[in-house]
Amino acid sequence: METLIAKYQSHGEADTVKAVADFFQVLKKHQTRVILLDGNLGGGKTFFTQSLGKLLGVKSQINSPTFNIMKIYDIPAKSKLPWRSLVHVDAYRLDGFSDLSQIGLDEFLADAKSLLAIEWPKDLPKFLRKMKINFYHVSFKVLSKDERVIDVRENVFEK
Amino acid sequence: MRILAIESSCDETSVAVLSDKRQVLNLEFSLVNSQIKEHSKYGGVVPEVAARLHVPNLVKMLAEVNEKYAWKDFDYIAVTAGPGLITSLMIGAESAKIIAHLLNRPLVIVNHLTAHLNSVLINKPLSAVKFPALGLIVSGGHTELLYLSRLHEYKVLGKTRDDAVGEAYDKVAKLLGLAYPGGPIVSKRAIGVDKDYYDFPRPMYDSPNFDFSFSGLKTAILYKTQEYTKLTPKVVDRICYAFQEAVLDVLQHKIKRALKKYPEVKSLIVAGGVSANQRLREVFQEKFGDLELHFPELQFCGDNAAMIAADAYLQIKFQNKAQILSGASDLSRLRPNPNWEINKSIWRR
Repeated sequence: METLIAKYQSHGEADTVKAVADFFQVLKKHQTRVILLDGNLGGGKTFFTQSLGKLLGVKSQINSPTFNIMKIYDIPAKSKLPWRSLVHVDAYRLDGFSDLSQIGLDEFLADAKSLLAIEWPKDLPKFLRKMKINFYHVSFKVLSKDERVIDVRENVFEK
Repeated sequence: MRILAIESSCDETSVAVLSDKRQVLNLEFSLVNSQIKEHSKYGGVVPEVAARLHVPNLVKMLAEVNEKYAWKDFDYIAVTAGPGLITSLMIGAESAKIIAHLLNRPLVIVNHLTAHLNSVLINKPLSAVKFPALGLIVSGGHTELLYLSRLHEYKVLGKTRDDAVGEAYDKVAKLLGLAYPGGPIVSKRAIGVDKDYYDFPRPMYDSPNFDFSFSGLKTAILYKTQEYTKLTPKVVDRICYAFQEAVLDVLQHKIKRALKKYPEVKSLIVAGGVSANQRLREVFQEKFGDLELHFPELQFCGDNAAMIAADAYLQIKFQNKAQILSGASDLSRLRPNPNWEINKSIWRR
């Protein structure tokens, strides 16, 4: 079932960084390691992932995954986190789950050491629910130039 | 020496044959098939569709090669091994491996990004570019500024921290309700606008490095579109113009910064899909007239196998053993790397 676990209002990048830091505290303590990022162009999905990457200790520059569809970043062991890879996906041009599995996403879904951040998830929630894979659903809404709302919902299933 | 090259890293299938004649990279044969029509309805390249189309395209092209050449005419086989879409890269790489194996010829693996820079050497002598040089790669997937101390020596000075230039064009086109691919459409809409009405931000303009950022510019345009209840064609044209000027301003500003740090630079190479942009060429001619300016011929701005062959020629000439594979065990080890960075080993993931 889906629960709203946080609602952030952001008036700029500094606020978003704070929101990600707050979400990171939840992320660290829970088993859920799939993050779906939903929202229109310019909503801040990639910026959210970049901020998360900094907290994870990712050293390389996280840039847009749009061209390559999937980018993988090392999470250093000294971060003492349960994950070794951050998998950043832009599913915009993929047609549902079968395409994601073609680029190898199912392997990362099955790998407990991978943390997944997936932009433009489309029908993925339906699939994840069916497979009973836990996920966070983060949605971005741009209300005006200085105001956006970021909702975080958690979907947890009994195995 | 004669090279048969294959390119399939994204949505262009291409084969080329290149030979050297007295140090001139002589393009003998070249075929390029763009799948852009198949992808435009999806608003971008769909990996599964691209991979599926590469197979029949490549088979057809290789049959055409076979009409003109005997397979034994080729001394080397060359192929793009990254960066790109993994499902697309695989088609070219696996085909090239089989050909190299059956012909018992070395396989030269080529980095798609350095190949874009070397597209300016096609049909030219190796002495065509004066070094040291700056190289700017601007395409749908990449935006990188490099320093080349001499031919085949690359140092990455900076790259985009978020969206690539071509990607920014595509996304802005989408925000404005224009079709895909955005580059040609946005630059066409900008023609005839008399001045910059919006003065959009120039992200990272003053940051003391050579990195780029275009995501904030995209967001600024999103806000601008929200100010209008209806986007009239005139407003769209003006936004396109102001966006393009902001992009070009940032690009030339970073090049100027690099020229300050490296005053010994003699030439500037601008390559990749966006280097076909006429306004970019105009602005760069005007700003960098003191340098030797090198743009690829228009037909070699987009992805093509001719540039792969040109790059492979340099790998062979400078004996870059790490990228020249021979023998079944070497060949079977090769897996394309979708995130292969310049100067990094392809084996590092």
